[in-house]
Amino acid sequence: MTPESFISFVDEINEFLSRKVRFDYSINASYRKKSGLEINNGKVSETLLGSNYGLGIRIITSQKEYLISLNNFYNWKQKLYSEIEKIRGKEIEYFISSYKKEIYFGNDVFKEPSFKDLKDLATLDLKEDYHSKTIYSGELNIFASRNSRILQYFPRSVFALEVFSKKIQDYGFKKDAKISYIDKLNVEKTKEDALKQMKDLEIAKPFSGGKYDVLSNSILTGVFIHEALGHASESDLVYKEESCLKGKLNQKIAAENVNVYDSALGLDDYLWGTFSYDDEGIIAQRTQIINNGVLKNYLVSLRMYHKFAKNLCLKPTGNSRIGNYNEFPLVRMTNTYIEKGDYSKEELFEELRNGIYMVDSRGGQVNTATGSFQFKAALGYVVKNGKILYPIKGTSLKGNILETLNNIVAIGKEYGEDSSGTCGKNSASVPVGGKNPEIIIKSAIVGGNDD
Amino acid sequence: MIKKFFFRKSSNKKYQNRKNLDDFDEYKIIKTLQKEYDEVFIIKTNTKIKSNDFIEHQETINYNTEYFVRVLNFQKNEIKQKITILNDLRNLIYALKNVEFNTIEGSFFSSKSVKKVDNDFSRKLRNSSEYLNDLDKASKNKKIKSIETSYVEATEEVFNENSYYKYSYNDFIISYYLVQGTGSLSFNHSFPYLHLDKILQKLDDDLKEVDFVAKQRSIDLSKVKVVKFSPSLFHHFASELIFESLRDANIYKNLTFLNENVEVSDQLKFIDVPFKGMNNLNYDFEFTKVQPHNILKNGKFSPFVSKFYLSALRYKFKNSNLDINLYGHYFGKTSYRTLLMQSMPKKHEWYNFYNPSQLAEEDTLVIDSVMGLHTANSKTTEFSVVIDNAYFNNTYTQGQIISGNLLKLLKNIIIEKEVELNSDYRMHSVSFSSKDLNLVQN
Repeated sequence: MTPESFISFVDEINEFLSRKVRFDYSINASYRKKSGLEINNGKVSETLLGSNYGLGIRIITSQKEYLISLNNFYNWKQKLYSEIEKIRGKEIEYFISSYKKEIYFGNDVFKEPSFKDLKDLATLDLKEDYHSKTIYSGELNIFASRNSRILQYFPRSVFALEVFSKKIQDYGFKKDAKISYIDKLNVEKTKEDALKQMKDLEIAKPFSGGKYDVLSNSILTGVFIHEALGHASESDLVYKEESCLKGKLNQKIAAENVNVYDSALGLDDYLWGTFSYDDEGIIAQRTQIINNGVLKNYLVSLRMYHKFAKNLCLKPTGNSRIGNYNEFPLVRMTNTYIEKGDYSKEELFEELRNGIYMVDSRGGQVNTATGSFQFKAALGYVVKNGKILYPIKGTSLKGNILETLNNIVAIGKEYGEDSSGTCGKNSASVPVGGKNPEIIIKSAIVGGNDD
Repeated sequence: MIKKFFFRKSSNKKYQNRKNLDDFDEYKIIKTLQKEYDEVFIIKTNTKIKSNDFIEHQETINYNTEYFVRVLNFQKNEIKQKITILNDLRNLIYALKNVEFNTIEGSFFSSKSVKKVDNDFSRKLRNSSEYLNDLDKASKNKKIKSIETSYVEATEEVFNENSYYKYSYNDFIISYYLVQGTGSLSFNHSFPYLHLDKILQKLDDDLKEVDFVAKQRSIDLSKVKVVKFSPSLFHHFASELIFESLRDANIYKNLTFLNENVEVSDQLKFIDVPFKGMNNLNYDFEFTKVQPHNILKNGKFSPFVSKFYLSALRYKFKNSNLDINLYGHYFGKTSYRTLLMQSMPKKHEWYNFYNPSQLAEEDTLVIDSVMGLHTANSKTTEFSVVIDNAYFNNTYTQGQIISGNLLKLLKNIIIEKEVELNSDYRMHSVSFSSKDLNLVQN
């Protein structure tokens, strides 16, 4: 099935549903083609080309929501009709959009790169052992309802690299992910950064945990603001009383210099979490979560708007997203970031004086209900008198969201690297991003591997 | 010497009575592809999943079909492979034409033959509307913040030139999350068939227990003499550190603590049992018969259990017959999975389900869950995590940092009570001296 015939097929199903379903409904359909290649030390170890399409039909009644999804369209009318017939309940008006849009984040998104191009990109001139991966994915996401049809085309490219050190049996890891064709990937910088991380790990010393002032680099700041604050601001978690931000609207929750946004519009580029319409047909927007330390907004889906957010005078923020067509949309972040401040890099080190400079992320976890979190840095550096002394390994940042937000004392004046990645929630994964400045957190709890 | 896979014609009666190989679309395609490729594998997965969220009032019906296709050409001292994954076989010829071969150096260790199987692990649930009504009634309690179920019916079919096997299975998955004040309890389990009576009893017990969890307070860490990991936490440690270290890619990259010289307490035994329990499997996705593996026996780890067939060739390992992709992601590929991991005890003391308070002893910190264990180092086994739920001298507590080295801990481990975590997998609680761990107030 070609993308064009898939669109026609979705139209046919939409027409069928508009006649057979008396409730408000929507269709989320996706068509994806993916090609990828992995290289171990200059040799191709894996090649993959896959395609995947399918659709989910969401039907809303006053009592219950239903989702019927399929990717095998044999006998589709019979399958759908038998499920639709079982649905009972009263009708409600739910979807508010009425659009016919086609949005392109790149041209010819289904024109895959050749394996030679993928191989050329991922083959590196390195003395060290390395493992690299290049993936290109062309995606078409369709939202359709009785009154709407929105098509969004995305080209997605990822280059990931691990450089191994035989000496310490550890590795430096970096990646670059962009909404673009593969030619925009910055392989050279990714290589240099991964190599530097590996070299610093080779000489890194073990470290004892404790309370330290911390300068967090842009990637780790991105992880902190996404995991710790972003998830807690998702209105479905607030509604289910699984967020420490419940009941804190218009209250001061962070230091006065802190402004936090979630923006599906990107920042100065198509960041990884960018789109134009969310998966309930709501137009994408830039939402200010924290304004000068005060919590101003939750991230609100249309569903959460109907459930409770309208009572708080909040509007849908265009944050309703699916990872795949067979999932109900959930409230999800897009590109989340702290607004840049006014400290130069030198001034940040001067302000820190003595403490730990924590760099990049190797995973973490947060309990949004209690507000406690733990994020492991890829690497740390001991800073004395505003100067980096030596690298340390095994460091992690721990603490409580609200305490930590109140302990941010300085914010850099430049946005760093894009902390793009995949965010998981209830088994659904969506692309997210964000460019963040470096920040100083006073009296942070830093875990070490030599505690 | 490079040999081709060899398979006998199916002897499965059910299948033979129903159809000839040639009647399958998959075999028509295999015959076409054989003109170009020496070996063709097609794995087809059909699933139907019905899920209910009793708090959100959402119901999902998901019909899903996926194909994983692997073609191989054999040349002198190397094998060329192509893989593609799709949901419509009509796209296969295009996909194979456009995907490149990758090369695997080496030769097969032996030719293989398999018996044809048509396993059916389906079990009848009692009337579905009956269990939905029971859980719907139970969900009215205000402490229940989420309660969800999924019922999965799945069929896997594997096609090769002369072979066919099929197996079907059912899963019932239930999870709930209880909150009272600042206390919370969660429960998440899968069953090959429904134990609703047991689950409802567990839910009832947990609704009482969460009131107790809500009264949590900080504790004096200097009084902790023994640290006990609950069975689910011990399983979490095993999953994050031991099984992550068994993955072929991590072995290849040397990101594993495992080697033949590593020794731990001889009290402990880990075994992976592939043909028992929910993840039943007789043959892996390379048509290799699966077998139980002693991951840890007599204090020594078996470091090479992860070597599946083609990885074995790539990484020059011996095959361990565990190339499966039972719940593989659409764009995934076959890789090593543990199927049914058990720790085999010297002592037996069964609980069907437990709460940390049931495992308590004086001055013993019973830790049930932690945050951030996936950030542990699989090479050094060092970890530094935050306690999410623990029990100490008649009170629940959380927030402390616990750090240490799992390998060192396993040398001085004390095996405790055994627990059946769901209908078919078992794990222990284990204890350590508090001197072997670092505990810090957060």
